[in-house]
Amino acid sequence: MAEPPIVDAPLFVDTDLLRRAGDLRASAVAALDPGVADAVERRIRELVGVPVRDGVAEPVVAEPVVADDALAVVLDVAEQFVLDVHGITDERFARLSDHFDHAQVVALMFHMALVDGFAKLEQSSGTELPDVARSMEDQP
Amino acid sequence: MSTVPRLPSAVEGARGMGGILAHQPSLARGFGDLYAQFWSHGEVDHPTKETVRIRNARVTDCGY
Repeated sequence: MAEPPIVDAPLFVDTDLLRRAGDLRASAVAALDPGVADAVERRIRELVGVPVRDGVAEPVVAEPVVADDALAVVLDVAEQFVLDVHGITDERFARLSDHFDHAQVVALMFHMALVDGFAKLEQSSGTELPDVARSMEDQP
Repeated sequence: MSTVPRLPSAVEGARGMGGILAHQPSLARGFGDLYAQFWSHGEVDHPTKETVRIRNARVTDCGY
């Protein structure tokens, strides 16, 4: 039986573009604590209203990967990023730096932007986009 | 309009987005690759892409 297509919607046919987007997503995730990256992705996809992807871990409550208040700050910014980016004030943004260094803040914002963008792409197109970076690595 | 970075530049003397992205060189390269691919290839013509870019920037108050 033939393998099902990786992407079954005509919107997503530019694989070079998808590959680069997938690489960028993977780079952002790699620069973050996995628990933080997963929590951000889960929350954003919930807000946008698309299914949480397989493999995105539930937040670990018993053994938090970062302090609870740090994760709360990240999720507060992530929620505002999705709902109305104008609500990310100087004060709100500065709270990130109380818990993360500059490189981590850059990675966090990239991660939020990419998860938000792809979730909204899926929502608006009615198509679930697979984990592009992971899928592309399997291609010859 | 947001053109004043909320993070310091990672490169002395570098201003704007480039100095911020320099905190994460791999992300900067990846973003450059993606942006170059977007603007140099694809099915959508440049005027349409630019119109979308400008509209997006206005809605988000992005000064870039």
